[in-house]
Amino acid sequence: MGYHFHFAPIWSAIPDIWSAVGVAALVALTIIPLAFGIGTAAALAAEYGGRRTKLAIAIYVEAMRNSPSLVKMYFIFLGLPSLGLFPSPFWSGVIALALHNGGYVTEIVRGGLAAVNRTEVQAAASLGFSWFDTQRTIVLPQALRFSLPSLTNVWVEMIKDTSLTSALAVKELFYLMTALVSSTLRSFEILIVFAAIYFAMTTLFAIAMKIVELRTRWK
Amino acid sequence: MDRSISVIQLLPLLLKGFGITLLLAAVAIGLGAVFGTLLGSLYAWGGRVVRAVLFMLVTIVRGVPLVVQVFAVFFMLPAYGIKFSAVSSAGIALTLFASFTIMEIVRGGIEVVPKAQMQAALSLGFSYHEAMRTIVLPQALRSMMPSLVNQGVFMVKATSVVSLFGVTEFMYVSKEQIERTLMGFEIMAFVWIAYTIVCYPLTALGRRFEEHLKGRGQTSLAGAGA
Repeated sequence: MGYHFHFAPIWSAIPDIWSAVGVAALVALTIIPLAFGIGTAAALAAEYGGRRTKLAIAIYVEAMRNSPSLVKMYFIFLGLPSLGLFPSPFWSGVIALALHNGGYVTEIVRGGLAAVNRTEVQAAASLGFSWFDTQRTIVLPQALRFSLPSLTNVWVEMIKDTSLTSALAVKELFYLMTALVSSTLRSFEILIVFAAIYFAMTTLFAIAMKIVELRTRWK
Repeated sequence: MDRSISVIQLLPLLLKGFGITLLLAAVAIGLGAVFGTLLGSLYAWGGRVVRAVLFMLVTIVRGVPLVVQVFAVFFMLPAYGIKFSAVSSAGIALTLFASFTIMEIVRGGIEVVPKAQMQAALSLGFSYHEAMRTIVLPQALRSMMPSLVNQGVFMVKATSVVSLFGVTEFMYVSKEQIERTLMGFEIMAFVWIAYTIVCYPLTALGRRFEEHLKGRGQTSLAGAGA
C-alpha cells in the first residue's frame, strides 16, 4: 500500500469548511425547532381535535412517513414553480425537512401525550386551569419528558439529513465535500475529515440531549 | 415546455427507475437481514473485543449521514482497484448500512429475553437448541418485528440518496425527466404517490405488530431505525 496521506489541501480549505459547518448548523437549527413546533401542534390537534382534524393529521403523517425527504425537497423546489412559486434552494430544503420530520415528531409527541394520565387534565380543569395553561404547565412538560429519548433520535437524524440539501446545491458540508474531492482528488483524507465533522456534530448533540434528559428526570 | 406530453407517456421510463429502486431496497433488506442477524448474534453473545469493535462500527454508521457512507463506498472501492457499476456500488453501500442497523435490532431483540428464562429452560431439561428455538427466539423475534418492518420502510426510502451519485433509480430518472419536460409538479406528485403505495402497507404492518406487542404488555425496542 503506497498511499501517502496528504492533508494540506484540506488545511487550505478550512475557511470554506467553517462556512459549510455554519450552513449545516443553520439548516439543522432551523428545521429542528420548526419540526418540533409542527409536530407538537399536530399531536395536540390530533389528541383534542374533531374527526376531520384527526383525519387531516393522519393523512399528513402518512404522507410524510412513507416517502423519502428528497421527494418533498424536489416537489417544493421543482414542483412549486409550476404553480408560480419559486422557493430558494435553502428554503425548499428547510421546509421539506421540517415537514418530513414533523411527521415523525407528531407520532412521538402523540405517544408522550397518551402516557400522561387523563385524570390530571380533569383535575386541572376542576382547579380552574384553562386548556392552554393545562397543556403548557401540566401535560406537555410530562409528555415531552416521556418523548425526549425518541425525539433525540429524530433530531440526530435531522442533523444528518442536512446533508441532503446538497441535492439542491445548498453549500453545506456534503456539497463542499464533493466539491473538494473533485478539485483536490484527495478523497480519502477528505472523507475522513468530513465524516469526523458529522460524527462530532451528531455525537455532541446526542450527549447534550442525554444531559438534558438526566437533568429533567423526575426526582 | 411541451405540455402535450403527459406523465402517462413517461410512465415506462419512470417505472423502470422505480424497479431499480425496489431492486436495491430488496437486495439491501435481504442481505442486510442475513448479515444483520449474524452480526447481531455475534454482538449479543460475542466476547468483549468483538462487542467493542461492533459497537464502534455501529456508532459510526449511525453518527454519519448515509450520503457520506455511500460516498465512501463509491470512492474508496476504486482506490483499492475494485471496480463496480454504479448500481452495484449503491447495493453494497445500502447493504452495509442495512446490516449494521439490523444488527442493532437483532441484538436488542436477543437481549430483551431475560437470561433467567434460558437458565430455567436448561434446568427443566431442555437442550440449549430446544430452549433457543422454542423459548428465546420466538420472544426475541416478536419484539423485533416492529423495528424490522420500520427498518424495511426506512431502507426503501433511503435508496433515494444514491440518486445523488448518478444511479439511475426512481429519483434520478424522475429528476432527469423533470429537466427534460419541466413537469416538476406532476412528476414529483407521481413519485410521492408511488413511494407511498409501496411504503404505506409496510408502515401499517409495523404499526399492527407494535399494537400486538403492546397488547401483550411489552414494548418494542425504542429508537431502532427511525
